[in-house]
Amino acid sequence: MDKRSLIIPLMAVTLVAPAMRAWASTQASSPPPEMPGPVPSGSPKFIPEQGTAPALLGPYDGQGQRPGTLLLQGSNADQSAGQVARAEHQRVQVGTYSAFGPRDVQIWQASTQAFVHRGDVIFHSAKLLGGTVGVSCDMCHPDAANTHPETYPKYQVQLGRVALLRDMINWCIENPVRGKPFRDDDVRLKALEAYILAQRKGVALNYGQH
Amino acid sequence: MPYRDLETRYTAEREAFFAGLGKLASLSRREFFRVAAASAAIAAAKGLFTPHGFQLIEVAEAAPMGVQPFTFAYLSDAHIYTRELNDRFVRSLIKAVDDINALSPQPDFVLFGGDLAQLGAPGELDLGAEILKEIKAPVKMMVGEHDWFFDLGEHWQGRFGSPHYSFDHKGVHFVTIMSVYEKDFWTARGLSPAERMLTVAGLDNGVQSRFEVGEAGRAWLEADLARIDSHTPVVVFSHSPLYKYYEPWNFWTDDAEQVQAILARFDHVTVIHGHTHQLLTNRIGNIHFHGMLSTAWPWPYAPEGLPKLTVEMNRADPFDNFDGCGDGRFDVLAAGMLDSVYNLWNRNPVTVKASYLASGGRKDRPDATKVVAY
Repeated sequence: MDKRSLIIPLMAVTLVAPAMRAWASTQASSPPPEMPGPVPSGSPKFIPEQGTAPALLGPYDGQGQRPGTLLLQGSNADQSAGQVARAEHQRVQVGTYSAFGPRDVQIWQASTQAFVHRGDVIFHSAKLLGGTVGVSCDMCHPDAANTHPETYPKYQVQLGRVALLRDMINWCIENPVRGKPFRDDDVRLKALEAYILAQRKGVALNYGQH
Repeated sequence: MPYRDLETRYTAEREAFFAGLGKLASLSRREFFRVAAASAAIAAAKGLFTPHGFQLIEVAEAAPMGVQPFTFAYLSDAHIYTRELNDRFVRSLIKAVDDINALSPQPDFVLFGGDLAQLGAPGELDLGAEILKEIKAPVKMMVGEHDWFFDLGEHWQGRFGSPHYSFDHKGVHFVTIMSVYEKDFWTARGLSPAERMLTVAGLDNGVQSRFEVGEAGRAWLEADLARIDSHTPVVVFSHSPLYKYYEPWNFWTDDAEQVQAILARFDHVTVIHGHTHQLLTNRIGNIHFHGMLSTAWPWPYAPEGLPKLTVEMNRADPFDNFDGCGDGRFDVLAAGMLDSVYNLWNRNPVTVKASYLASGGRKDRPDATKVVAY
């Protein structure tokens, strides 16, 4: 193999490695940002709450467990000897999907928030919506009020058919905002949906509500 | 109050009646009829049972003398762009002007509730002034934040004069105050006039300061009201609500309590405000608050802080660009209180009577929509 083809990747690694090390050292084991996390559906709580590091994860808890195994531990410090002995016998096979730690959660939440923020910016800008009459969504929906995304899908009487939230977003862009409706795979449409849904966190889903 | 049985109470009332009759005996016949009519009107406005003859004397004594019933109309929050950009709000404003010109009988005057322009541009304000010139009755102007924060009121004041003034009309004292001043938030951020205006135009960004009347405004108001007798009905025109409804959307006046304190000594105060673009009713102490409709678009109700007395209008149909908008009028009663009539476009009109507010919501509740608001 030609040694020259290794030069650039090696240079890249040498340049980036100190930066990565520096970044890693600044990462205290702090709790994830205050952004609300998804609500667990009843499965074991892998997502840290209130700043407590998860007590379940093998590869990241610095206890030298082999990757691929999970040691179930009680979070209570004073355990009886019998409990500890029982816990040690419960080894559960865990794959990559659930092998994540606080840093991963931070990255995912930051990415989600950035996408929601992108929708926020578009929501408040007639130009970015492609509107031609100086009307933006927040002129009728401050803080995405009165969008009630939890009621979709529903029969939208005025359209004469069942609609999803994205259909109403596109209808508004076409009519009061007087712009060209977005295609289904347009990232701007998705960002707007993300922003609207993010404003209704915790509101019970109630599709079909008129 | 010690318990008194039915007979004792009736006897006491008869004594009071005959004592009061002495005062009435000194009136001429015409004056007597005027007092009687005024008393009956006041009793009706206050929602008291009538005719309960013995009570009319007490009520008559508290009657503000010299208030002749009359009507004035309003249109508010036009938010117009220039026609080349967007003629939708212009058409709505023209529709409201036509409504008011078609009123029969004509109102005594017409209030414009503020926010004539959307982005405070001279072109928008001039276009708005041209359209408002078509109104046959005299127009009283009020300034809103959308008119002000592009050039800090320069063009608006050049066209329409001072943002606060007062006048008396048929026994009622009217005062218009500038209530959308904001503490400087733009210099530190280095915003241009256009950016400042865009920031103020956004309801839900937390960047702009909350509205206030300000120290100078309150001093002016106090000086103006100093010469007014406390029995004279006072009507205040203000763009911001003069109470605290919902801070994140600036449905709010920072110094509301201080302004209310200045108004507290009067028997009958009605505050008529714009900015909220919705059916809104409130009462704090003796002050009645009525929000005006917008001709341009309706705001949804805020998630919290809605006054208890408000009977909500249902959310607007987005497929009808006039729904939830409109204009209206106020009927000034002999009692010195006001009935508010909302002329909602494409909906039945809604009347919020003075007796509804005076009785704390127990009588004459305005019509409500059957549909649940959510």
